[in-house]
Amino acid sequence: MSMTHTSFYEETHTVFGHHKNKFLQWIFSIDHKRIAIMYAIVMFSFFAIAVVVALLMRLELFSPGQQIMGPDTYNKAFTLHGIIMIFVFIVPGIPATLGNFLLPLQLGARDVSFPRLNLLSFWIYCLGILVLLYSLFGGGGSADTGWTFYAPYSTNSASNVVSALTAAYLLGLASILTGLNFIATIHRLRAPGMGFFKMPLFVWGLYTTAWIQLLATPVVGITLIMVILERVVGIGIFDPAKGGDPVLLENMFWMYSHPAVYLMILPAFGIASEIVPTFCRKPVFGYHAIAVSSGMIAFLGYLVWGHHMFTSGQSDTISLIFSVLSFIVAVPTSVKFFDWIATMYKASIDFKTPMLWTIGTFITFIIGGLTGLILGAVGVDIYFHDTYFVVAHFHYAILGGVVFLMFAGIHYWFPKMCGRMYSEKHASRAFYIIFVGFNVLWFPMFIAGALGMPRRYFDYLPEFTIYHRIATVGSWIFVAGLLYMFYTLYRGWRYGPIAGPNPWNATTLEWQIPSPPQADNFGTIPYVDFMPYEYIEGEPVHHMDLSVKEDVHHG
Amino acid sequence: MADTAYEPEIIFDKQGNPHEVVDWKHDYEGSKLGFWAFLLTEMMIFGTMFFVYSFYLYQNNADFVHASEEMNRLLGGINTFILLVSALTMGLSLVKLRNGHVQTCKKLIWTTIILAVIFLGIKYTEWSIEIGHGFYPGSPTLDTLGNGTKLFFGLYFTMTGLHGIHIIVGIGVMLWLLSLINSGKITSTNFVVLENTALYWDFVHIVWVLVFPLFYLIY
Amino acid sequence: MVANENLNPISMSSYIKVFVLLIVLTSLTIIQPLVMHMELASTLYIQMGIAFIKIVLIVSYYMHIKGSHPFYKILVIGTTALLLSMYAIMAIDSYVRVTNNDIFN
Repeated sequence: MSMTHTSFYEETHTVFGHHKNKFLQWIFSIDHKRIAIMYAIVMFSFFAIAVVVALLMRLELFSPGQQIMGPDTYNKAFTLHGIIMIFVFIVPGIPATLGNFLLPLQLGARDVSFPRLNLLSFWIYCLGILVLLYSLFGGGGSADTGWTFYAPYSTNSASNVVSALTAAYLLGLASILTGLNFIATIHRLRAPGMGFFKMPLFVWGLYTTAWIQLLATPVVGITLIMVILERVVGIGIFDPAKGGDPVLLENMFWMYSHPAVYLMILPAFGIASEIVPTFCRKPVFGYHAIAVSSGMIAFLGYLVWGHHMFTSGQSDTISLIFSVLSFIVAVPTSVKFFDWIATMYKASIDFKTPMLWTIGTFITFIIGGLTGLILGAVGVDIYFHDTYFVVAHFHYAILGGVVFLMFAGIHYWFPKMCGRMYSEKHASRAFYIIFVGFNVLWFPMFIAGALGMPRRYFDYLPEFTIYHRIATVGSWIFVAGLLYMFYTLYRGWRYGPIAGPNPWNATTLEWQIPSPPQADNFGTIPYVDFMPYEYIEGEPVHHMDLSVKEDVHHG
Repeated sequence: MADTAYEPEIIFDKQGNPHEVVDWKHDYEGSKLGFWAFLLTEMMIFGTMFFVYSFYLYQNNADFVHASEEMNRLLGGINTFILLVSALTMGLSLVKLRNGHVQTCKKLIWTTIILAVIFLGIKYTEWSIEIGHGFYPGSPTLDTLGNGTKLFFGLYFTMTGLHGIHIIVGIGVMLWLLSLINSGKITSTNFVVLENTALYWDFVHIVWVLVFPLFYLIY
Repeated sequence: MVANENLNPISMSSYIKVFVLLIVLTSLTIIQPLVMHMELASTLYIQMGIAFIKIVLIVSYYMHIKGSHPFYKILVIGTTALLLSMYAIMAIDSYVRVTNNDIFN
């Protein structure tokens, strides 16, 4: 281990000029690791805001009738919750934070292909958030259309739809640029010798995600522009009075938003593929199958958007086609699950917090995914569409899938990012509390939805009260667990014991350099002619110290 | 990005063979790949717009055909040829630069800029004519006509407007190119920014190749 | 690939040849509706056919796809295929919606 090294916290490259001021050194830094941390700070702040909005919604729903907010405010609340959670939190999500931090490290590169573009993406992201904040307070009041802004309400609503959509456009642009950057990086900056099928599976997740970010997001970008034009100029595209078709908007919206959910889950699956071999001390089962299945999910995900529209008035023929395609897209996902479980079979598993989160996710995501199949059956969806069944499904899949794996990744790479370790005892307890709270919060909604409770309603019939009450209590447990988890991580960051380069004794390249890494990542770039998860009898095959700069002059 | 002192980083494998490490600061292929990725996003944007057009064309054949007769084919046709020539001049500027003829390259870029400005001028004239006839979104004249006509003109202004914005951005980039050449940042051996601009301009041309017949020639 | 020099050599003549072809095709495209009075579908086939040829010429020669690594061909063809598959799915819906061709009419 190198003696004293300066970490990336102490020195950095900036986009122009040299600054004495530390704040300027951060916001002008083109170092992917600093950009990742800045994204994380902004993202989680807004995650907290959206959680608070949700808590207030659940308080309102504790009893029938109005408690703390009226129907219009409720509409604004779930719109804001959706816009923040989707566009500000989960779409940038893992790629912008863990992806930005780890991609070059796992590839053996010194940064991404376009570091200045990376910083620009972050600034555009921040600009989008500022526009969103503006939309909350301007003239017409915060948007109340739902995050899905269906026409004709979105083209007629008096609320601040134009600024909300502009914010979404900017946030989408940041996502596109990140995807572009990652594609170029993965194609060009892999360490010598590292072919595509020697990359870590987290990189495969980021790669397939980047293609979705790149190709699907522009579709919603132009859709947003057309809705704005419809509102401002009246081009007639979505206005039935002028021959326009509101269902066309639904189609264009879901042409992005369905691939978007695969964009969310693929990096999360990549995290699972990193954590499982490390804590099972053996190579992952079916590396090629997992890699290829990511590609298949990304591709098939473009063809199933109509399953959000079974009740929209589209033809039965196309509904059946979409239903069949939706069933097919579940297959590559299950391939991954079988491979992870096969990896765990007969392994001596180390149940540290990252592994707990991953196993917990297997449970919740399986419920989320299988209920997705239930909804994919047209005959059933006629009844379940726009009920709490759907709400429970996507929270199990996104919160219990993507976010749980994001937490797993945070706990896994925490020592790498800040050089210290959190308390295992407190972190695992926080996991259990969150896990219990999550299920108490969301599971009753499956039942309520099946019994007919509609979504986005601020009031309901008395027969649904018990489900809402259980869910609201669950939300308190869930949030208590979240606070406990974040506090544990905070304490670890401030006061935790120093973690060395490889506290988990893992195999991928990021663990062969100091924690936290130096500014240009590696002293020496390794030649990679080995698979990423090579363990022999529980020990990594290759031990490298890549912090040491060998006698090589590099430009 | 031009520098003559770049020494690539070399590492060695277990057999002692040297391998070059790609540096993000000096990666021509990476710049090309990144720009092509950007062009793919533009394909998706305009592709979606063409999709909306086809959707409504299918539903409103007759109205679209009649509306197409109102378009000014002379101005549209002139613009088509102007853009075609400008694509040639842009492409040739790259050839000249790579062969070392920097002044000719700059003249060709200036020609492209002027042609693009003329294109915009003619487009502005066309728009004024349409608006003068009352064919603009939300106009009282359109209110009396069929839905297909309303949609046709809504799409016309949206798509040519979006295309026009891309032309304006292209002009800005070309002006920036000229300053880069003057300051020596683009040279006959370091030309990826010019090459990417030429790709962009070709793409803008391709969009027009599709827009022109769909709006002007289906009468 | 580090330096900018080691590329397919590029010549003015191929640019000029393609330019002439494009001029011819553009002229054909403008003349066609004047001399051939056909229904919309036929006009569209011809117009889009000519446009397709022009686009292939521009992408192959002006945008150098012809001389580039096959990966770029895959990118362009792949994205086009993605767009066309989305069109095709929507076309099925448009054709069948609220008509007797639908499955459960």
